[in-house]
Amino acid sequence: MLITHVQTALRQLLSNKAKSALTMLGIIIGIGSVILIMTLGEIAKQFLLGQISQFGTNVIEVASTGSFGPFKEEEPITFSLQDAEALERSSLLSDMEAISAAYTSAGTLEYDSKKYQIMIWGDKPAVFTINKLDVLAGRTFTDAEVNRSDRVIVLSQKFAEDVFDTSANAIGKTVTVSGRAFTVLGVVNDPPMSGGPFGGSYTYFPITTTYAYLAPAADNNKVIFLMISTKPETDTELFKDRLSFELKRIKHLDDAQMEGISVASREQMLSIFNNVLLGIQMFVAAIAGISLFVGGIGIMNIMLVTVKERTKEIGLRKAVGAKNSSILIQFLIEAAVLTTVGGLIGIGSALGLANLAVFVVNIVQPTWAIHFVLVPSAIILACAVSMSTGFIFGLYPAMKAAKLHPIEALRYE
Amino acid sequence: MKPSGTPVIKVVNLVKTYWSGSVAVEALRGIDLEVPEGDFLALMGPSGSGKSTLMNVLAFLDAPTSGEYWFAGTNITSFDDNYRAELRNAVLGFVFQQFHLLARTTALDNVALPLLYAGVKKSKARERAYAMLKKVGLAHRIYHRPNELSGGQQQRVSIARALVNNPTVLFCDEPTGNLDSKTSNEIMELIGTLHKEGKTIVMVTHEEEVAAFAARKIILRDGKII
Repeated sequence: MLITHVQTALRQLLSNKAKSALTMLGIIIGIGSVILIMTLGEIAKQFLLGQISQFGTNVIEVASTGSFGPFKEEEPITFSLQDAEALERSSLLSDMEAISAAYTSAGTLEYDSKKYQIMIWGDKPAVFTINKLDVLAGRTFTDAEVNRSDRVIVLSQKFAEDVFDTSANAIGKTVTVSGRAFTVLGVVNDPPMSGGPFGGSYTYFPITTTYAYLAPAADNNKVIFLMISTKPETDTELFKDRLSFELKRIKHLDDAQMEGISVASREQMLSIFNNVLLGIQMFVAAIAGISLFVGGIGIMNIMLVTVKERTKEIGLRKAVGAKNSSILIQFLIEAAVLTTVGGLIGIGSALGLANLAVFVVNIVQPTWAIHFVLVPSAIILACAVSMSTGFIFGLYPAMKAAKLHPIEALRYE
Repeated sequence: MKPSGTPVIKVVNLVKTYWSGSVAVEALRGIDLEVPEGDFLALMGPSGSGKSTLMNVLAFLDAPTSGEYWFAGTNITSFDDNYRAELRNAVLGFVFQQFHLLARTTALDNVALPLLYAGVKKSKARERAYAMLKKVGLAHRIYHRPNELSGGQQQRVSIARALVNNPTVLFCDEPTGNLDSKTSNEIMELIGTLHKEGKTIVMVTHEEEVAAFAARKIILRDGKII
């Protein structure tokens, strides 16, 4: 009998496709948006996880957050090369593996009378190990070259191939940056997530070279951010506490000033992303809830019309022995079939859209290599929600149908 | 087991009062009636005489206001809606003037419907439905839907549906009201055959030619048998 009811409901649904589609629209949009945002969120999360592990885990970044204090009027905290050296010497941070000190700015590189926009990244040799930048051709710069402020440059892969066709071609060539000649030492792979206006145009210089030739005099010795890698067995959270303690001691900062410094592990950035994602998901869930409610009212409306239209059928069914409960169940199932089909359409469209998004992103950013991810829990939940929407909003019309008097129903015109 | 000689239907001083707004309408005013097994009874009378109300009460579609109703020796006057539905399903068959077949449903599934409510498995129900359609001469039309059948064929489907549960009593409400006279005759001959096979039949009609097929007739006027 249940199967028969489901078949009847599907037949009704197919007999007027346009009406059914309009009826189910609220459910389709509600369920679809939840599935879409859940799936895209999961895809983004998987992507970021992949990036972070590629970028190097057990890495902590220290940067100034800009102004701080109750009136946000204090000068931002800055770092220097000496701060990095002091941290490196600290016995409290003996499980530190490497520390980099970065000074970054934008610039122009000239080669063969062509100009290229570049991202200037001055740093210590440790930047290459901490960020897992592998040498593809030539070599990276050494401590000796940093000490001598040599005019050498290391290019990232995509940029090197843009300018010199192949990475190997670039080695030993002389390029001009800010009117000075620099020798290309080597080529390293692109950092992950290297999108944005500079694309992959990262160029690395010894930090002292940056101060000597590329940065304004006022920025001499200034470090914009520090990256510290720890031994694999180190607990990053505990290390962060020790690091903050040492920063406070070395730079003679008070608690208020410490708020102007961000000390964050890369894993932590994932949790920040998670929080943002959760916020978005809650927002979408609220919208979806409204959409489901409106959709449910639509279902109730159409079911009331159906009960009216099929009053004689209800009378006949009662005459041949249908109990009130059989009629109730029949119309509840019909409502649930409507909403479940709507939910399935919503799930299908959302997965299709998510797939399309993955496809498009992979064309625009092939290096990201993002993957489509199914979120089974969300799909099961969506099915359950759409089915129960039918039961909830179908209840009133079904009860109306069940209470009809057989004689009056048979005579209804 | 009912003792032989017990009437299938026995009503004593049956009264049915409707409330039409605040006005009480006395549709039945004390009916005494017995229908023995194998009877073919025609209920006649002008419109408003109460013949349809009487059939509805006899067919468990409506509860009487007062009086007693014994069905096959059991007093069922005080049975509730659910039990009346079960009884209709188990011991009654209905043939309506307007056929009341489910649209977009094949003849076979229309006939099988009462069996599904009785909890018979779908395949078994279809088997029995097919046997009934064969009996009414529609074995070649089992997959046709009502809108693909003529009026006479639709009424045969509804007779097959009424018989599929092998009912104790077959109720016919103006069974030929929507048919031309040639088809009417065919349908009445079919019903007459069922009577000859021993089926107990109660039929409401206002046409003398139709009533002529019955074994006996009673005439109602103003809610009373005259």
